[in-house]
Amino acid sequence: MNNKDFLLKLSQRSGNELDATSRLVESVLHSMVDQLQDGNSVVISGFGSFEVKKKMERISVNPVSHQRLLIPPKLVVGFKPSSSVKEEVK
Amino acid sequence: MNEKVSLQDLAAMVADDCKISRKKADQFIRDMFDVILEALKKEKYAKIKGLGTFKLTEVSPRVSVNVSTGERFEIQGHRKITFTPENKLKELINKPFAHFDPVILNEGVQFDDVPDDIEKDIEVELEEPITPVEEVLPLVGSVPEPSKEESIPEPEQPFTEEPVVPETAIEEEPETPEPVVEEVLVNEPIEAETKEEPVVEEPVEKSKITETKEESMLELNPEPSVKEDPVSIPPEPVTLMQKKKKTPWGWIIGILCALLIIGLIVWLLVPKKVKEEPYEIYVPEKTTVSPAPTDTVKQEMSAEVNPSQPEPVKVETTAPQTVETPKPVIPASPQSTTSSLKTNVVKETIADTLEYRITGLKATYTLKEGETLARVAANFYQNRRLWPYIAKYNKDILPNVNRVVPGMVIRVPELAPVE
Repeated sequence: MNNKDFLLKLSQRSGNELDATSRLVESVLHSMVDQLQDGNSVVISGFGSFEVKKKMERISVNPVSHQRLLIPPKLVVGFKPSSSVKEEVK
Repeated sequence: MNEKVSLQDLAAMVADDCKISRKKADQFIRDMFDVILEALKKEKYAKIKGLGTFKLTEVSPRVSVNVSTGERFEIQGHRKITFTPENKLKELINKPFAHFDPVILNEGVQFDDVPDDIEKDIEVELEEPITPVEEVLPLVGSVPEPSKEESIPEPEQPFTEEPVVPETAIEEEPETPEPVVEEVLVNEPIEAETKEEPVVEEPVEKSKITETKEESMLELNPEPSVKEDPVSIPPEPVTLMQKKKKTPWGWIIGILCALLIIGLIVWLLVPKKVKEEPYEIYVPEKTTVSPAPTDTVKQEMSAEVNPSQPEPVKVETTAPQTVETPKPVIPASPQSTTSSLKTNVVKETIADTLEYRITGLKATYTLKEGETLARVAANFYQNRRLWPYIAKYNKDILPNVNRVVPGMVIRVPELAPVE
């Protein structure tokens, strides 16, 4: 399912115009990302939680050239499905 | 920081943002994630712009062991949801650390600042690859690496120096004016001799050699901006280019640059080494003497013992000429060649295809800076190859012919051909 289908379906379900739906989705995602950037985790009950994790710096070795690289620390978004969703999907 | 933002908090924010009621916003968010979940269940795939991709992936069954009881049991195959954030989102989230770049580590870098748990990982990682790394290193070392570029030219220097000398010596061949004169006189031995010839000349024609070396270097490495500042300029392009490498071109250019640098180093060292060079080079010459044809050697011996020389005559001294012409032509036509020589050439050029005996003192000569016996021979006999006679005549003051000191007064013998 791509973004177009997703918006279409959502607009049908929520009874909003497609335009309004996309604006709303944008707003939701924007506030979510805002929170994530602040280091907060976003928990959507019945779906899962999004959170930012810090990956520490590490050394990786290129298996071909054996060149060693120091990979700097970075922040990544992680998603953890809620246990109910996990069970549903299983 | 590190707070949990619930759906309700999110709804409040969205309500503020879009000026809708909280209830509506709450409901909308629920709907939104419901739709995603449904799509996932149905199509196993949902791509949300601005967030990322959710996927349902199959996990195949696998056997695990109960840690406490040691019992084996199978974890059943199941499906799970994976989420891959969009690149845009990744960048947004990673903004605080965006300025970091991966760093290439050199050998022997300590990991004091890296946390313990990671260091363990590193040790585990390194345990296996570390031996291959060292095995590969020599290979890598021969090819210039960006980081060790400065240390590499040094180890390479010793073995490249030697090849460089013959290179230039060979290239010099066509330029030396001497062989041309002799070619008229002696046709056969020239080829054999010219190979050794330039080597003998090297100290004498120091300036020439440096020139030719420079030329040859330019020929070898087709790169601009060498002549202006040969020492300081080349290193910079090397580093720049080698940082950009990744393609074989980068390597090739790097190797060329390394050769250029080595060549320059050798070239800079040549003036200092000149005095030592003949020493190294004459050694093989002497060794080649021993397997010389015995008949000519015997002739020499008899010839040289006869003319009442008090010193023990060594074959070596005259060998360089006679040995190289091992054909029986020598005794056959000595007269004709000398006669033609004296008639043709106005200068008293003495051919080196003949044997000579020392008849007396011709002159004394004070050696100047950078001069060799070969040059003295060239001055007095118009033939640099006759230097061994001078060496022999001066044996008492010149124990080592390869180490002549400027200011030394040497005696130049008068030579007469042996009949």
